[in-house]
Amino acid sequence: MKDNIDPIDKIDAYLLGHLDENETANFKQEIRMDKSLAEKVAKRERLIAAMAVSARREMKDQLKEIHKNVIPEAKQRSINWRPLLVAASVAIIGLMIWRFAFPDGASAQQLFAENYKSYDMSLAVRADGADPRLAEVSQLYRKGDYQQAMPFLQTLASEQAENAELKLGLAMAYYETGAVDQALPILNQIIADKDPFLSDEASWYAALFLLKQDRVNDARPLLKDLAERPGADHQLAAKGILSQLQ
Amino acid sequence: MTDKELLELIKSGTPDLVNQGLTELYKLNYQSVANYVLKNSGNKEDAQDVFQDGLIALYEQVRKGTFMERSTIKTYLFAICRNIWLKKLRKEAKHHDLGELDQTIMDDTALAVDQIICDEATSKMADLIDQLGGTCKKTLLLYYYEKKRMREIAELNGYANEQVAKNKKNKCLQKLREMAKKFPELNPFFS
Repeated sequence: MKDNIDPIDKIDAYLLGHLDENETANFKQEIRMDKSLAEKVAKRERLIAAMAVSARREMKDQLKEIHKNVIPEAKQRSINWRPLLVAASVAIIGLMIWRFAFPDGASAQQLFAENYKSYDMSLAVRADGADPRLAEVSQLYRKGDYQQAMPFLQTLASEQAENAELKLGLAMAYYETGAVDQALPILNQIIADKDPFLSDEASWYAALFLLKQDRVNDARPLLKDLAERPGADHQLAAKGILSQLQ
Repeated sequence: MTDKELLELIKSGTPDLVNQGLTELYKLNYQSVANYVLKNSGNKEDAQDVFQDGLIALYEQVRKGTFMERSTIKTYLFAICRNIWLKKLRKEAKHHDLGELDQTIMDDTALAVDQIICDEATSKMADLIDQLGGTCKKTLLLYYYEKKRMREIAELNGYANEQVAKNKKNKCLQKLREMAKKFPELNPFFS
């Protein structure tokens, strides 16, 4: 590791085990000699411990889903195969028609299907005094109960107009319940607001939804911005889509 | 699936494979832990809670490379879960005669169990991390919890290169610092 790295980066590297044996020994010595450095290391350790708590909560949600799927008494109902077979038949027929219509190359819809993954909305659900509706809507969203989550998301998004995460979740819920025309204006608003953390996500999903609607010329500028702007989220994926559209 | 195969799935760090490993561990081990908790003053919710905490503790041990493989996964996981349950019972002070803990296993699992308990301020900071949402939270947890390098984080998030991933991490930390300013009790987390 270079000697002229940012001190905080070096603390991170030390705590995360990224230093080699010599560097670690030297840094431990520096900590022993420098009280202020020792305090900074201690603070960073606490922050990393909090990251672990957050990660464990996510893992616990994951394990709760596994529990529902594998533990017999936790399963809600037995599987009804008839509607699944009907849906599968419709999907196969639809796929045959689509392949006939687009025999060569990647269509806009195909690119959408290859790249779409529902947004992983994350809201505070445990902060002291936090709105209990956040926990409810988070749970419904995670389970894919977008129809049930919708009223909560609509109310919360209108009450917390500055919360881009809620708006993005609402847009996804609209899309997942077949109302993509209501999703797009919300995504455009997040983009227009230039939210520093979610405007790229909004651009990405807006581009994907436009591809789904075969509005390639509308999707292209969004993808081009993501592909060309340094540091943009989904940059590589956007480049990939654009190269296939050409 | 053998213990070795399960450990490989967990160590992979790939979300689908890890999920597969956790699912197998759940199927193979939940019932014995549930039986123990139910026989020792617990209910189904307690059993679920204890087992899930135990599985998380095991996951972290495996990922850190501190699971020593001196015992089978089944034995080790059961011991962690038993210790978690006994600690909870002691905390509630409902029971005094809890039986002797297996000291050998206790030494190995004590750290695993202790690490899943946290203080109020840490819990509050974790709430703010949860609030970050989206790619911010994902980037920070990939770096600080999964201990992935910037190159890998860039690949996973579709960033152009390592520097972009690092800038994103720093931007997200700055956002977290701004959010924490409203809470004086969180001063000890930032320099």
